[in-house]
Amino acid sequence: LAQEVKMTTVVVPSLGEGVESAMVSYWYVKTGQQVKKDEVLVELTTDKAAFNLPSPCSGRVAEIRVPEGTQVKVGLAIATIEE
Amino acid sequence: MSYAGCQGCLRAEIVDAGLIEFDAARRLQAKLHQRVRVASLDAACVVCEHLPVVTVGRAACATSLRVSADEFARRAIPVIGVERGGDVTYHGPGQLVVYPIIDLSRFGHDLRKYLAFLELLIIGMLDEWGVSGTRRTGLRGVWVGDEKIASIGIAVKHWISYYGFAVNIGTQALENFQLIKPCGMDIAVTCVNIHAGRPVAMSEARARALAVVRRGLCG
Repeated sequence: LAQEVKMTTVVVPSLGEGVESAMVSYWYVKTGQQVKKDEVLVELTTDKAAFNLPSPCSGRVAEIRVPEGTQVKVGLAIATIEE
Repeated sequence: MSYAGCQGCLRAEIVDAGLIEFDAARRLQAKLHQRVRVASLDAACVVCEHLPVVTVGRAACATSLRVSADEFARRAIPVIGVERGGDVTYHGPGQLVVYPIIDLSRFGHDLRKYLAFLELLIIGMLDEWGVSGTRRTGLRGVWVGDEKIASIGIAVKHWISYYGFAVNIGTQALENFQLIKPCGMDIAVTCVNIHAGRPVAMSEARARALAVVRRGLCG
């Protein structure tokens, strides 16, 4: 039987009123790497704050969609985790 | 180093760490951050003064350091990359450093709201010394006229903030700012003792900060 694979998208969260975007400053993980729920995936920086975004689930990093140094809007999908 | 429970918020730990190396404060923050994360504390704060160090935040530009690595080494000033937001800053004796460690759910998970709160906390502290600090549109930190008196920079992990702000108290804190572009800008810096009309000792500054933090973060 084929095992069902669930794909979870990692999106840039709301960081507060008036904050429309952030910069992807550092990826802590690489494509193919196993991660646990709440493990920090990526650092986003905005306006004097460095925000560490945790993984929403355990699984394998299937895709990293944006490289470091990219300015990304709130709500944008930046990675996919295969559970 | 002294530890104190916080009035009005029993599970807070406010640490007066005195004069300590930057890395020691970083390790202390990591321990306290973990305790707030597992909810054995509601909030924590480290109040301290650092030995001379230049810290390079995540948004730093290569041009923010005005002198070579050799020159920093000759002056025995380490240059350390740090996990906070912002550009380059200097810490050293005569500067008050405050690192609140707090769950930002108390600020509606709003980074700007928390940064503004810290700036208002600093302005309140300065006001008690008769120094009129202000915020400036489009810029972070606290200013007296066109001169910066306090810098701000935080990191957030699991929605718990660490790092915080630094306020220049004595004139000796200003000497090494000439080696950098503070926050990546061509700006002048100033200190409390230039504007307060009397010398404020670091022990007094730390005591004031402890009181303000207790009232502001834990009240």
